[in-house]
Amino acid sequence: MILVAFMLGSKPREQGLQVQEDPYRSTVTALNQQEHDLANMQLASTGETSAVDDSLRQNLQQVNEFIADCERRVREVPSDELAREYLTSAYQQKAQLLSAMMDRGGSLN
Amino acid sequence: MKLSTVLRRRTILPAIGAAGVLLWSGTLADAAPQRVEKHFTVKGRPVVVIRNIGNGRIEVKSWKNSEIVVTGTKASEKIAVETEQAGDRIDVSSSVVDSTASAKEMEANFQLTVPEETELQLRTQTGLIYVEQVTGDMTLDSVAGDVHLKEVSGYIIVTTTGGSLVCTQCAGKLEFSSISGSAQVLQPTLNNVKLRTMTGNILFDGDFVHTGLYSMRSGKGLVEVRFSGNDSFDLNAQTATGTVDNQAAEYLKPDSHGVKHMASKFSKGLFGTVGMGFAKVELSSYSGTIRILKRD
Repeated sequence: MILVAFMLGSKPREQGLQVQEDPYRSTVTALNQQEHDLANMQLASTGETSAVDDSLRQNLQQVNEFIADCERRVREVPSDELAREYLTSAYQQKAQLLSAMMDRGGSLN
Repeated sequence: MKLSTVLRRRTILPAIGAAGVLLWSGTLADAAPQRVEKHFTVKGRPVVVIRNIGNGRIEVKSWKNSEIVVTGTKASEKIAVETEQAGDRIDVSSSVVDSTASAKEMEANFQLTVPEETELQLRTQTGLIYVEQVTGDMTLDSVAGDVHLKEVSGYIIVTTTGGSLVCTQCAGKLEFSSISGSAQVLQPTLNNVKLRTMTGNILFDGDFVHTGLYSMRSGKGLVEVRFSGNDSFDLNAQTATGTVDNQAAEYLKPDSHGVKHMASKFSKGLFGTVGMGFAKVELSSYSGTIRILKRD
């Protein structure tokens, strides 16, 4: 999570006005890796899932859907600063959520 | 410190150093709920910390006595509850003592009665957090449980994953952050408000304090503000792909402070002033609706 936060924090604010390939690539890669690790933890676990696990999983799905929506918007309109703000915030929330799920020992199906 | 326990035979009372540590545990493996009550005498403004790793409700009410009463029930012997007093700090935490415990067996509920001026740090997983008539800074964390606050004041920080907040007659400073939880702020006297949710809704129904700062954001949800005819605030409302539903056009005048606001050409914005513009209100959404209306 610290790595993701650093990568998001170090992103230049004005890059929305510049032409860049994908400034979020490293962030997305790190988050995908963390999500993959979480899935492996879940596979290794034989414990039952609780209401908390269900809630975390549902929220992760909502975050992923929201991220996909924002990414699509930012691809279509790279200069939409508001959409960028929401996308950055969504990545941060995903990092926090994955970290919480990791702490619980994995709750991803 | 006075100790009163319903199940005294099952209580272990180790004391470590200057701090009194109590462990509610047991030796018998029955699944009947167990209730324990403890009393802590405090001086001044105490700090109460509850970490409930299991599921369960936390309810906090106040009285005028310099004493904290903690009443707890736990669902089984597979979960232990510890309390510790160090001066004016009271710690209550639950932990799993048997890894085979099911979610139902890990339930622990707490009821607290605290002095009116008390600081709180409460954390639970799925149960309701309810706080009433407490003055003091508070940090409240929940995954899926809702948070209901009534007549509380201080610097209030609420973080949930999916739980919603209802804050009635709250005062001071309020921060709320959630992924899918909603927030309702009703009849407040808050001078600093920061509400963030990704997919939940936000409702602010109340007066804006002069010089107050109010920021409310929802990614996909509805952001609704109901103000009174006596209110005075500058408004900045922006959405990326959503809509701004202005139902108070007759009250909203062009900004009177000479600051020319312009929405990005890629977003929809609404700027203006109600009254003299003493408070500052910023509303934002990604794809949700922002609604502004004057209440009856």
